[in-house]
Amino acid sequence: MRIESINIIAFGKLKNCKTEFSDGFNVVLGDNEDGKTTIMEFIKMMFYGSKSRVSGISGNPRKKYLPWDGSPMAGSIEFSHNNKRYRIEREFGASNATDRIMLFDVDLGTYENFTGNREIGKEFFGISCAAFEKSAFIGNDIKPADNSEADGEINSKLSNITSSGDEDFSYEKILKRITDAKEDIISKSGKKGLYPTHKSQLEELEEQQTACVALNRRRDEISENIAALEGQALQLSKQKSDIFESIKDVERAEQRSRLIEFIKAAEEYELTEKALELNDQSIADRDFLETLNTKIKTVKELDLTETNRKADIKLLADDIIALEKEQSVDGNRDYLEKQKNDVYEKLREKNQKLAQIEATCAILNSKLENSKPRARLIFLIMGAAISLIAICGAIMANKPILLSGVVLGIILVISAFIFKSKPKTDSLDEQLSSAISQKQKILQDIEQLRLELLEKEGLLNRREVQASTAKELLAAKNTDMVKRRAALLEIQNKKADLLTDLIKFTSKFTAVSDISSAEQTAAHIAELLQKLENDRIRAQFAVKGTGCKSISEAKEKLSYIKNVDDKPMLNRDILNNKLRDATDRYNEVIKEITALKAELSTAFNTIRTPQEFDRDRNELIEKLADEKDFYECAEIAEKALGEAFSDIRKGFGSAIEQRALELFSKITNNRYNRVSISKNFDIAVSGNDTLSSRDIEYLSRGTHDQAYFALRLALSELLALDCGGLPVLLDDVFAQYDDTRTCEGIKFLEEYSRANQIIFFTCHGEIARIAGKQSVKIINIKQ
Amino acid sequence: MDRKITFLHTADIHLGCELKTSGPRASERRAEILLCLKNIFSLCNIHDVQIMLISGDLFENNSVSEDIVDSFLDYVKSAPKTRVFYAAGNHDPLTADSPLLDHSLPDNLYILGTKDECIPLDDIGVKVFGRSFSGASMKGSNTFSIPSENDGFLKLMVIHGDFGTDISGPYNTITREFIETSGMDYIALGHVHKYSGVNKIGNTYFAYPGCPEPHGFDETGNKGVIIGSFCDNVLSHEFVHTSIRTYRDEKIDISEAVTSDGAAKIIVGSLKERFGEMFNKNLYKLTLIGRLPEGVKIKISQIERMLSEQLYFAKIKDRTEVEIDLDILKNENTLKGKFVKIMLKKQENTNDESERNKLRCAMFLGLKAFSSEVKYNED
Repeated sequence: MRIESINIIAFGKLKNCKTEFSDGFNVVLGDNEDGKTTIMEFIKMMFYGSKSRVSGISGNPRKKYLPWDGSPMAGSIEFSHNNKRYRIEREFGASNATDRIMLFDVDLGTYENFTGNREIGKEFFGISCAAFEKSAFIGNDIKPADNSEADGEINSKLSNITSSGDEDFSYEKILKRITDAKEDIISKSGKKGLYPTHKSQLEELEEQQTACVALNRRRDEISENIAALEGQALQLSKQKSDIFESIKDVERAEQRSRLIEFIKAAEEYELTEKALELNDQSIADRDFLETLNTKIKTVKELDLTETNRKADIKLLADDIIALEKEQSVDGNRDYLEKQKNDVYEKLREKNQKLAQIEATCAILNSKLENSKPRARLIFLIMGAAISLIAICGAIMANKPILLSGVVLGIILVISAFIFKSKPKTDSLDEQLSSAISQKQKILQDIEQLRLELLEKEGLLNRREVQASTAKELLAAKNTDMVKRRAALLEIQNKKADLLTDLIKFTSKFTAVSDISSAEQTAAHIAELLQKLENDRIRAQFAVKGTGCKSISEAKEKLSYIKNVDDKPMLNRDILNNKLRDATDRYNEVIKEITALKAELSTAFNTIRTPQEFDRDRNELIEKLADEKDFYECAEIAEKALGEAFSDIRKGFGSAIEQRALELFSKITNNRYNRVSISKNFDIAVSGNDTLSSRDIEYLSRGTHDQAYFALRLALSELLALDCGGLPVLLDDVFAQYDDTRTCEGIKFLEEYSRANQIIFFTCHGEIARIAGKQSVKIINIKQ
Repeated sequence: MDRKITFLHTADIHLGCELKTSGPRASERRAEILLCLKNIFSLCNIHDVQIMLISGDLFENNSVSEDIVDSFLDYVKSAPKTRVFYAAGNHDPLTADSPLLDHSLPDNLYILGTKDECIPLDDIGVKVFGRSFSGASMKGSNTFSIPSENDGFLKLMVIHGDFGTDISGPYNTITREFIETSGMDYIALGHVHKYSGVNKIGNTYFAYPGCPEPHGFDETGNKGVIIGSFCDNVLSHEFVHTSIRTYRDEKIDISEAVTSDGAAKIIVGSLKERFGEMFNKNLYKLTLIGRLPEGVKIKISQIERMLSEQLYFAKIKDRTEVEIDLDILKNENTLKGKFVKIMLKKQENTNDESERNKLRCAMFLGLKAFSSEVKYNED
């Protein structure tokens, strides 16, 4: 590409300024403020416009180069490219989008309207404005201000250019930015960064959510249990109420019963009291009854006394009659005397018989004694003695029982005879026994007669005593009889008086005629009084707990109490037991409910619903997705950047190095024959006089500038390779050079301009003079 | 039914929710949700609403503070002519720890039990049916167990559930069959936070009103309640906006910006244009898009700081691209040119749209690294 000419209609201070350029070396000479930089900026802006939107004037060429007369910035530029000539006419607006651009094909006479943000420079030359600025557009602003900074900046830019083809972009820096961005999301260790943090938060949240689900389930279970228990409690409460109501019914029934009983008892009391009313309106009370009974008793006692007295008198009269009769009958005494004598006679006869028998016995005994041992004799004597004693005793003591001793004596006697010593005594024994037997009978008869005699004698004696006594008695009794009859009369009179009083007293209650009816009345009163007392006690008992004091009050209360008599009633104890059971169960259920509710209010008071976590969770998931996307994008970019870097390094890096060496050697008049750009883009150079390379940092500032200049030109060539080379615009790049270097530089440019158009802007006339010796077009813009 | 019955349908208020995503504004937002509810009760008085139907999730959970419950009960009392029917949802199930159970309830508040229930209002000829959630989850059914009778009553149902087909779902699935066989005139649903519009299956109208006050950026747009009237069996209704603030997820093109300040101005201008003078009341999730010229460096943190003075709440995502002519750049024999060329090639070689987008993002991320630090700036 070659710039043919420019026509500045209005741009900064320049107006209607036309300049033509040669294909080779052009030197634009002008003093400071003559517009050299303005022309350079005009050329650049004709191709690229300006995207700067900064408000300050220095950073925004659209403001900086605003024509002083206020007219719009405008102009045209003609250039050849790929053997074709073009003209750009441009009127600058506020931005690239509003610039009016016309591209003319000068050879064909056609034009194209460029609109929007299209950059003609980029479309024609294939390089961006930035690349253009930093390669072919070499201003003096890039020169270092001092050595130390210059070295660093040159190194830096050189590295950038060799690594990225752009001195502003360092591959490593760009890579680091991407890596840093990646590591903001996930660190190399994978443990730090936004993603692991948020992932950890998400996991924590999900754990909380899971725990929350379990807690909610537990809460629901507890709630269900509470609901079930509350149902039970309700049932039990109803049961309790029912039982309580039943107890109340029982109480009501009891109360009713008491009131009814009270009313009945009270009414009966009143009736009884009425029945006890006396003629003087007073009541026949216990005192009345007692008086009555006393009176009756007194009358009755007198009556009894009278009866007794009468009986005594009768007995006395009988006694008198008997005594009188006894005195009148003496035949009995003679009869008794005769009887006594008869007995006496019989007794005498018997005694005689006994003597005979005893003689017989004595004979037999003597015979037997001779034949029997001595013992028999003893038996015999003993028997006789005993019998005799017995008989005497019986007679003396007048006790027949003693006669049993006779029997014993006889037995002994018999034994004496039974006792055999020899068979020859048997006959004697028999005889003796018979004699004894007879004797015994006689003795019995004697005893009987003797007793009879004694009796007759006693009777006779008593009869005589009686007769005497009766006589005396009769007299006494007759006297007594008189006395008694007088006393009886007195009693009868007194009794009549008392009976009259009794009848009068009883008639206060009811009329009576005799003591019997008075007694009946007293019994009736007593019965009524007992009934009255019973009614009183009944009423008192019944009224307990009712709080009533009168029948009317009781009746009123009764009317308020529901009659539940028709309801089946259970036993109150059973009901109380049932109520106790139900209450206990109810209390247990309530206790359980309370415990569960306490658990609900404490264990779940900060519980969240699982859904509450969703929003936080979704937000974290969204963040994680974004972070993952970003990380993956950074990874992709990182990888692609690596690939691009390899490409650049492969082709561009070595080409730059080679071309930079060629140009650097030429600029320095072959003082340096080797330039190496390390992997780290450090530049080392070596000259003809030495074999060793020296780092560019050790060289002078002029050499730095030369190296940098060579590199910029090499870059310009390489960047514009596809478009056949770019015009190189230089803004006083030799300002810091000494004369030798300036000469060498100009010489180099002259040579270089044979292949590439050079537009060299300078304010130094000397440079123009040196250049003028060569085939250089000098364009003087000095005003 | 010749009388006019006016009802208000709301749901999913979530009093006491944490609102973590609202950051430092969470506390204020919680207060505003309560204020929104107060405003809804004011609407009842303004519109002579006879019946208010709250279809669950009134509270965020059963552990809400006493003052929230007391406030709600005060609001109910403030609209004595409105009978308020409440069916608890999965967030605030009618369990033993339900916040309302320990309080003395106003006469005009009716809470549906956990079994199917019908509350007749003989004086106005209305029957309100429904049931509350008995736990954090509850299985649905294809039919409502209390049959509807042809008795001339207006039949409304209030219930929290998920409209769908799978009745084994955990959130009381409301099926088409359920609605069709319910015999209701209107079913007030809750659970879905977005207004569904009023729909009809068979003779039954049904709707989700959505939440009256939004809780996060997943609930963008205007929120409100349904106010409806039945007159001669004909339903007329309107969706009344109630939200004090709205959440907005907006994309803003800041291509024209050259500084962070400029970008903030563009954002504010754009939001003002979209949402009018009250734009600054909203909560925004802003995605910055557009193409920024190389060298223009915009810092999200600076934009956020500038916006914080003008917007109630904003979180920003930077998705801007570098303004660059890729076709020209790809031909540059530079690192950048090569990089772009490689990335464009990769994009050409894939048929996957999302992969292509990712590669494009990666390319611009790489290009950004040429001029400045690359920061992941999701706040």
